[in-house]
Amino acid sequence: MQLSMKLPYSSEALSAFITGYHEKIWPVQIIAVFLTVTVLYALYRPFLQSGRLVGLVLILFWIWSGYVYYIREFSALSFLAPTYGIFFLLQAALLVWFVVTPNSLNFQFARYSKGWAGIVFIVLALLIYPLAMVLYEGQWKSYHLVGVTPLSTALFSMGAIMQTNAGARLKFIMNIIPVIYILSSCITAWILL
Amino acid sequence: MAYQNFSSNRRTFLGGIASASTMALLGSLPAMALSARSLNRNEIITKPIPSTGERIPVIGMGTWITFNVGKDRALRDHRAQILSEFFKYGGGMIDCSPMYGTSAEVLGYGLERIDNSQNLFSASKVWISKVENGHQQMEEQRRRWGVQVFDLMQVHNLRNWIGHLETLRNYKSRGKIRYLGVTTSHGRRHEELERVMQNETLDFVQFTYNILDREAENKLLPLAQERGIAVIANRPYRQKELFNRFQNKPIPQWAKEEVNAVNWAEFFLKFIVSHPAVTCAIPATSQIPHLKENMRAAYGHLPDAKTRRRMIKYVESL
Repeated sequence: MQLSMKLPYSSEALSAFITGYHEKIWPVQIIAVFLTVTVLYALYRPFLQSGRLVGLVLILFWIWSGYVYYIREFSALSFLAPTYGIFFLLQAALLVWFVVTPNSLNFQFARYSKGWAGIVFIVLALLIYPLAMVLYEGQWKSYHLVGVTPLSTALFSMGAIMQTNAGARLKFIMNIIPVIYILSSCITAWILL
Repeated sequence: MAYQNFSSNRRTFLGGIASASTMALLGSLPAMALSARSLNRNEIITKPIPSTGERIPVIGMGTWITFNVGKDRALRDHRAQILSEFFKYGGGMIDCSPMYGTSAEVLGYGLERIDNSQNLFSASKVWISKVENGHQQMEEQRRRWGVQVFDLMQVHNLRNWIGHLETLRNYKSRGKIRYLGVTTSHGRRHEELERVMQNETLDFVQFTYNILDREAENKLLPLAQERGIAVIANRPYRQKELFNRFQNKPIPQWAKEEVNAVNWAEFFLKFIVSHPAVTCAIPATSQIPHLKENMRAAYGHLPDAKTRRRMIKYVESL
């Protein structure tokens, strides 16, 4: 007998959920945009402790997406949401470990191939993915904003992590959860669309 | 809520059929003929629950995905309309689960807003590992639906069925539920289900059965008949897969003439509910035109054994 991969919600329900979620958390979006701009500035023009600041903002984003988005809100729609939430909190804990320790990572725009690849992820997170969703859903109200929605946050984080001065092993560890999450989101999109 | 006299809905149903007839008039001739016959027949097909003899309509409604729409008011109102149409066409059983997100809450929202749900046959599930948490989960479901008692409570996907069945037996003896059962889907755990059916006293069992997934014909369906257990067939369209596969293929003329199957939904559903052991099928939908197609399968003729074989042969030839 055939097995099928199905989610407990439709794309219509997901879109309605994000619209309602944005209404519920308003005006947190303003803070998220401010923090995102701060990260971009710190990446472009690093200053004393800017690496830590970037790391702390990413931690906040992952905690918000894990706890508020997944565990508190999205769990009403999907029984899988708490599991996703736990992984997001785990990523936040990983970032805490790497950022708050004495030899914290330095985040800044790197002008080499992986650095440019990181910029591609940042542009994907800030513009391409959310605008594609706006085009698909036909409305701005369900904008997938970095900091408060998970996939944009994961893409943005990957882009930022690619800008660090960390070694390949460390970058690999820090990107495990974002990469797995991005892949699982691709599968989700494939199922929903 | 006990299933009641369907004739009370006759006038409403006639109205619905009249609209459907108008649509059919604009379409094909066989469709028009079906509507005319339905008007004459005027009775929804029901089957008895073996343990009591109470009859329920052969087409019910599932809520997986389709009713999980969260808090959105417009989507909830639309689902309330679906419910209203379902009852207007004589529907009875609605099946849900705590696994289906906000579906139970949306059902409750809809049931509160419509005035024709007298024939509701509420079927929910318990889906949790610890038996002691099952009480809370079932009570929460009851509160979300807004019903006094559930007509049917099932152990979802056989999850800790030993412990939960004990609770359900206790609930049934105290009148907190009217029937009890167990479920599985996608053809999983059939051997275990068979053992449960052989050794436990069940009113209902639910598993996947459709024109392509007929594994249940070998053991589960005959066993259900032998043990006097009502059968709910889930995944009647394999989600949407059967439509994706066959919607561009023609419905054979003999199916239209012999069993009034003028579209694929009727073809698939009539095949399922015509099995002597199947009590009802529970297609899910979020669209009113599709709901109407589903419900029309509960009217007119059902295929006999010979026609059922012909239906299988036809589908397998496509």
